[in-house]
Amino acid sequence: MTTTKKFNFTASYKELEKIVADFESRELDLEKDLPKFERGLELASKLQKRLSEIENKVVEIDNKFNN
Amino acid sequence: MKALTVTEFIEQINDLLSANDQFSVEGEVSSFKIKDGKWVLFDLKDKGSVVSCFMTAWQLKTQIEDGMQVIVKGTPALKNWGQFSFNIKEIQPSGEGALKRAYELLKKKLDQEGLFDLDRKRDLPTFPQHVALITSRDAAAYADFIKVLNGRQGGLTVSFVHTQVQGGPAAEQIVSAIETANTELTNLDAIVLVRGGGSIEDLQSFNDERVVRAVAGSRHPMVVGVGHERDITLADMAADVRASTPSNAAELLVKSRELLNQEIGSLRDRLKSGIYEQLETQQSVLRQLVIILRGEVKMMKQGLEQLERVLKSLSPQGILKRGYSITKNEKGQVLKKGSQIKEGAKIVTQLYEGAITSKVTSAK
Repeated sequence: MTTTKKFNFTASYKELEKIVADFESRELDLEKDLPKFERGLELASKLQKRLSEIENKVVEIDNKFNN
Repeated sequence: MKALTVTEFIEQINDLLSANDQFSVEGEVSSFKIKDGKWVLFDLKDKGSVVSCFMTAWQLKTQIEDGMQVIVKGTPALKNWGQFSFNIKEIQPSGEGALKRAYELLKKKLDQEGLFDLDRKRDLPTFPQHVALITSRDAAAYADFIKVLNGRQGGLTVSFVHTQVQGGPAAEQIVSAIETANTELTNLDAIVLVRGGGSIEDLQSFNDERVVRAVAGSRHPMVVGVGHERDITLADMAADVRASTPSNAAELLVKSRELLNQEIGSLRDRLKSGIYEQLETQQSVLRQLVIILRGEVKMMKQGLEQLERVLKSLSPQGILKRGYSITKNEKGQVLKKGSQIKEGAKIVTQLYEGAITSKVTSAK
């Protein structure tokens, strides 16, 4: 839980989508685009790792305005 | 016995009347009217009797009309001008017919206000990570929602706010729970309000105007799943996303991990295919280059051989081989003119193979 807490699923998914869209929209330069490619693979693995989590955390909150 | 003043008399009567806490009376509404938008006046009657009722407009939480069966709660009082009045604190439609009618009236009113308009509905975030859950901790709805959510995704934070989901205080508790979720929680993606099925009386809180307005006014998108598929409460209609059941609320909230895994897998494939295509193109370019280079090398080799032959034919050695010779004086200087040598001097004639030394007998 603690290791993935800072991982932003939405932002990572969007970044991956953006890299793919960018790659599909132009001619690639192997040398220049390799770091981006590696970043994309890293995001995909992190996202899939995050999906392997089983439990959801339930925190009970006091009903503040209820008296 | 001293006579009372009229004011004193009315005060004492009112003291007597308020000795009883509160009356709860059921009857039929007639002559219902709202005065100046502030005061509500109507008669409550049964077959044999009628009583005048009075309440403030803000205490009116439901839609009432003539002919409706209601239960009112309040205290009786004698006005200064001698008229008896039943001061109402709370009024509720009674029985299925009246509840349905109140539902229809409120639905019409809120619809006209635009509370159910489709263009008010907001999309849920694609990947909610923090959701607020409002329901009763004892209800099957709670367990159903959590179970389906766990089956679909993990790692989410569910901030749970317990409320009653039926009975007197339920509506107020739900309104304050929505307010709590909206104000107390950070990074919240959505608010989920669920309850299992029940009769129209059981679901009354979800047709309460305050609850419907709180759902419509929530700062975060709301998913509402109340009752079974056929139960459509006004809270459902005001929600950004209407779920048919509590389980369906979880389904609409998050994608299943299988589907997401597939989506991410397909993004990974698309990412790779671009790079691999590029790699293949470059490989075939390289192969072609190798072929071209090999051809060039071959041609260059042939050219070199040609050059070597020409060079060889042009070298002194080559000339000597063809029968020419070089004549030098004793110092080894090459002789090009007869005047360069005198009679009697020695000359060396360089042949292809070997050399001849001679004595000059004549030179000119």
